[in-house]
Amino acid sequence: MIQDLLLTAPFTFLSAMAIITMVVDALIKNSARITSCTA
Amino acid sequence: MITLIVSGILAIATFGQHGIGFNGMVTGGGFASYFDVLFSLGGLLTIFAARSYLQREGIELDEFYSLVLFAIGGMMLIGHSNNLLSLFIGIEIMSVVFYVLSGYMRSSVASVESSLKYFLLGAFSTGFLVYGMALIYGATGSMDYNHIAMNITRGSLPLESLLPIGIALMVIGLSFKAAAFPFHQWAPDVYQGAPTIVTAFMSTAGKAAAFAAFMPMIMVLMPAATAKLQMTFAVLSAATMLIGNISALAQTNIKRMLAFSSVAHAGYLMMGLVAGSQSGYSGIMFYLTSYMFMQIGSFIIVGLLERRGEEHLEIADYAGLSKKHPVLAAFMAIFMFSLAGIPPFAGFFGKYYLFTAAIDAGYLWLTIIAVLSSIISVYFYIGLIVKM
Repeated sequence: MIQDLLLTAPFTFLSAMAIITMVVDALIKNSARITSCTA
Repeated sequence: MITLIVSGILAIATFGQHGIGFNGMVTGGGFASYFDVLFSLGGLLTIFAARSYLQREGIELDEFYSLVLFAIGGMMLIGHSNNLLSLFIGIEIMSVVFYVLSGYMRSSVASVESSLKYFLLGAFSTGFLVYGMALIYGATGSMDYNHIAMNITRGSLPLESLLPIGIALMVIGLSFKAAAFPFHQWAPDVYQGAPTIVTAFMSTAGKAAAFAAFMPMIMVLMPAATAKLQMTFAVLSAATMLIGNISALAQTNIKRMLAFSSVAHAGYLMMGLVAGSQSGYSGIMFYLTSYMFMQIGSFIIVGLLERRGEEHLEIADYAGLSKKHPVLAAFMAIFMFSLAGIPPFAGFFGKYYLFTAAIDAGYLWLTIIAVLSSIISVYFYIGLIVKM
């Protein structure tokens, strides 16, 4: 499994980063919305 | 950007690690790693130029960067695929992101129209692709490239008659992705309507991904019908070059002109597939690298000169650019010379490799057509420089 991931390291890393970026972006937007609603 | 730089470095680091992973679904090293670097480079250039463009158009949302990363992920999966299923998943990840990115400028009717057009035609072409894959599976009994190649070489095919139909349908599906004749009609409309920076990305990295899908497939399937496949690609290549260049002659919009020129470049790239040799594939890879720089470079300049609301895109608007923006005009001239294939620019060497490979394979007539169509292309590339 580790060998497989290493073989496709650029793809694995890029996909993981794409998902993290999307999730973090959604969380930031959501928290900003909650903050503005509370205010 | 950091993600893309790191993934590019990882691709270079894994260049020598040849092997098959995930139960034969993907392959690594060499060819796949080279394409990883190429896609990372394309994404890097796109993201580098995107910020100012998106801010000016008032559409800078963080999703854009994630979508570009997802598209590159799909492209990398295409380059790594060793199985028809992983190839299909890669193509779909890339295509779905492209449909979204084309319509990214939601307030623009042209952008939304281009997205819808691309989606409908893309879905149609995917049908061809999947049906072709299904028939190849039916004919060879496997989805794995190595098994398909082995079965074809041995001649042990359960349903041999399905193979040529499957190959033809797959060629149709992939020709659509590469914007090759006669499946190129979507390209000018979509490239014109989509945000300029997205067009730059689609017409370079997207095309590279289509050829990353074509090359291993042809390597595997070529022994099944070498002469017929070579002749099919030769005819497609000749028609693509001629139609692309002749149509570009009549354009007054620079994005549309570059879109037709990208159709013509798909024709040049197909010459490497016609050759079906190591030199042909190397030629494709070299040409794609140089094409990536010259095409994205041209679109970045178009994006810089464009005004808010997709204005200032007519070729006539470029008159006097050398006086107003001499540096941009100089770079545009370099990119145009390179696209036209004039020495000593990279485009010339790319064409030289592809033409040599086609001559070595015995396709002199195709090379003559390619040279003639290059001469036609000089008219509109140099015409723009003269205008500037």
